Amino acid sequence: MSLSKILAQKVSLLDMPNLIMRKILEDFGFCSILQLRKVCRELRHFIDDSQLPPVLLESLSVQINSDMIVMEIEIEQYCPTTVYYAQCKNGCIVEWEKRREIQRILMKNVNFLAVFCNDLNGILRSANFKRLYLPQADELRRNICREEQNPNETGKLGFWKRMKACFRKMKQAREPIRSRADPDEVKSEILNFTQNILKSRARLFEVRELQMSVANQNDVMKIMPFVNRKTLREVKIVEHCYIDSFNYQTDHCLKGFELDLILPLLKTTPSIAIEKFLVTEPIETFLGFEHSYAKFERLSKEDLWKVKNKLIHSLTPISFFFIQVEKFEMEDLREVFGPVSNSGGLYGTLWCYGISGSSDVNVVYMRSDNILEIIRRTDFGYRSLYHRMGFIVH
Amino acid sequence: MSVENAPVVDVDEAAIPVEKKMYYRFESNDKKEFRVSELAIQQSETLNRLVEAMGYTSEDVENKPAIAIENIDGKTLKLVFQWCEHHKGEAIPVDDGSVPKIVEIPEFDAKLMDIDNGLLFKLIWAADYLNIVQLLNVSCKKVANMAQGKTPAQLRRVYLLPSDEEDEAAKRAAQEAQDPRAREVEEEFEERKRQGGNSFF
Repeated sequence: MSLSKILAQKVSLLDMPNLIMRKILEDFGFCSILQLRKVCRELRHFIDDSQLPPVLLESLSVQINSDMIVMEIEIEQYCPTTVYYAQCKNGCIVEWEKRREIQRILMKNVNFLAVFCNDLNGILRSANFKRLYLPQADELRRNICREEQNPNETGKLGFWKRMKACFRKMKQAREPIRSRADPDEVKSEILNFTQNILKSRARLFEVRELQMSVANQNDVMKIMPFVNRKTLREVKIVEHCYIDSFNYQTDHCLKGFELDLILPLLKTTPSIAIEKFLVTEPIETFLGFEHSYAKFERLSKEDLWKVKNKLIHSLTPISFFFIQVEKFEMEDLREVFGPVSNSGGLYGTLWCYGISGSSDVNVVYMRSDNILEIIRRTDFGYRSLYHRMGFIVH
Repeated sequence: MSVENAPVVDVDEAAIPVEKKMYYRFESNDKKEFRVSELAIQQSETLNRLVEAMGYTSEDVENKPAIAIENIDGKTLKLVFQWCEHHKGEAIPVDDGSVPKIVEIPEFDAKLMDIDNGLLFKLIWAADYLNIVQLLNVSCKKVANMAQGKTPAQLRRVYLLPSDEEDEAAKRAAQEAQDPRAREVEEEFEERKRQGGNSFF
């Protein structure tokens, strides 16, 4: 449409030239852009195609179940908004809290996953995050487990109570949670969808702290290649259904986790944690990180020597290093780390190493849960505290 | 309305040319004439280059016909020149590529832009066409601010936008008006789809 023609009639936002539209959209806040995407298809396409510079938000966390997704987004620090997407018989219920009031909408004849994916698309296209937890099944699964195990306790879980009341109100029979689609299938679908969104971004996705609960490294590789490595500071990978086996007592059935594809992408990332998996890589892999957490099936005496040589006498400060094995042999530990600095008690078993020319100490804790924790104590006075307590400082 | 009879609007009413200032005459597409000071014109890169290229003297400005701005109507152009007069002599901001830009809307601009949204969009068009950087910045900011805290339905009203359904209906109507066979083809396609045919051809 020509300019004179436009100016002769009533003009709308969509009649603006592309450059001006872009300029206007750059001034929109993140929330307004999300709302604007819902206005009409043409505008949605324009927003998606114009690849506006993403805003940096605090955190995004997604918890997934077979018939419900809980998304928590923190646009400003300490102000999280929780949105629930639940499937009901004839559509999707979306519930969130706005100005301390519960808002709820029923979207007829749509799948809850489609509604969630539409929102996720808008969010991931236009924002980077300091922290991303995707998908994080833990909390939700814990609630579900708790509900199934202790039906009397459900009253304490506000959301479930409200949802049930809502379903009753609409006279809809709620099917048992576990009879629906496999939550892992839903999770896999969301991971694939997320991969496609990140792939379509003009710029790499930026996140400082990435936490994923996954089945194997292929799940991680759906996201990692699209993440800007320069901004990635911390990666935490958790076995995706560990919550079903609640505590450390059942850790003996942990699955192995391969890292060969991920490691080349983490060369500049200072911190790594692999939880509820047994890592298959050699110990050296983890010694290169500033912070690391990993569990090994077993560590030989040679491995312990490598840990000691690399970390205990290292001048570059490590913040923490955790290794866990099925069982440490105290004989091996004594041989490698020397006589213990204390004789048990409140502090457990520990070895304390002074750092020459510094008041810092490196401490090796042998924890009761078979975790060997190596930590640099930079707090003022730790060294003299250990001295006063009669600990041997090596 | 002939040019001779057209009303002449002195945009810079407060500053009647006492000293020797050059006032250019511009004419909108609905034949409204405006007198704008040389300094105010500098806010518009397009007009500034135009008058420089013309090289008018004070006599030429008075004797030659007003410079026509074909694409902009009088109502919009009045707002543009009022803005230029108020901000004359101010430095023109340089785009440093930062996003989002920190733009504050001064009180005068806020009052000037207290107009219906259709006119505001025309003002943006005109600011872009005449390359008035700061006016474009503040007007875009104003449009963006209008979205704050609005639902999609409210945004549709504010920005004069159609919903997906209305848009679809309008497109279909336009298509039908252009090609009456289109509807028939579409219906045939839907029918074949219902019958389970894999290919339309």
